[in-house]
Amino acid sequence: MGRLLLVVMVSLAVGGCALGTNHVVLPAALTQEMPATGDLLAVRVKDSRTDLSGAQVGFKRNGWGAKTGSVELANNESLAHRLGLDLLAISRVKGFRASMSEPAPLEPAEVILDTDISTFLVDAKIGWTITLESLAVVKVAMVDARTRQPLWSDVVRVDGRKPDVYVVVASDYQQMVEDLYARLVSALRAAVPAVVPR
Amino acid sequence: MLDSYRRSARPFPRLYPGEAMRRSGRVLLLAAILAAALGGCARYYWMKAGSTAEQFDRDSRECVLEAKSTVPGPVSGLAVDVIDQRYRTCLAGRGYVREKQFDPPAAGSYRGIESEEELAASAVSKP
Repeated sequence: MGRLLLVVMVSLAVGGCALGTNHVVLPAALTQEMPATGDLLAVRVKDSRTDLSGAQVGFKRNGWGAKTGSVELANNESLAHRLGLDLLAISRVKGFRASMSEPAPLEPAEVILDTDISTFLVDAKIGWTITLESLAVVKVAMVDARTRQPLWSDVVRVDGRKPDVYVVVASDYQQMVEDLYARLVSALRAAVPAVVPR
Repeated sequence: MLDSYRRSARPFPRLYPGEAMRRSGRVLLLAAILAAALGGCARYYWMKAGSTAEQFDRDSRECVLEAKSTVPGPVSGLAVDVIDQRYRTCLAGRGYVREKQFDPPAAGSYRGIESEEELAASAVSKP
């Protein structure tokens, strides 16, 4: 009995345990000085994921595939807030005098960068082996702040896959989320235009 | 003599110690096998009071397209799960309830999209 308990405890410790919450630390958000000139832009990020919200970015599953735990960003930082910070820096790099839409910017924005997180998820498919999968879909649009006229829009999708995993450990979730987020930011950087398409 | 005959003829004869336990175990096992066998015949159906098959087909098609529009690109991997989740949320939002039923299902029950292949095929077809 004691030996069985020991085996279970060691398995849980080594296996990372399918229960509880794993916290993922993302690298520091991008920073960029506000340019002296350029269109005034407000960054707005909405999280419209249906099955996840806030800091949660994934599920942990047991051997039968049932959801038994959660994967979240460290320090309970919401994904929308974090993506907002990176989009702020990206917009400034592109030449916009960008600020977050909340709290209200000092100068009224001319353009709103409307961002909608449709999906951002890391999950595990349980079979003979485990396949870790990730998917992010973000809709991004530029809207004239005064007339609400859409000026430009795009949909960015990135996904990832790590097959043939026998035991999922904390570093697997860390790697999957970090990689997905980095590729999402990179894709958004490529998508956001440098000038307002009017 | 008559007494012993009456004893042996009663409908529930006396059992040896442990026999009752063994018999109830066998009954339970049989019930479990039966339940598992019959359970395989149950499938998921969508139900909504007063709905018609045509209405469900239309709602189902619209929900697939709506769900698919949130995840552009190939319908594979995790995208299947996300689209499926959104499809179900959409139908639930239109008042349908998804429940397991034995075949043949009750009137007013409709079979929605339940497999990856169906989802991929439906997602590309226009309503």
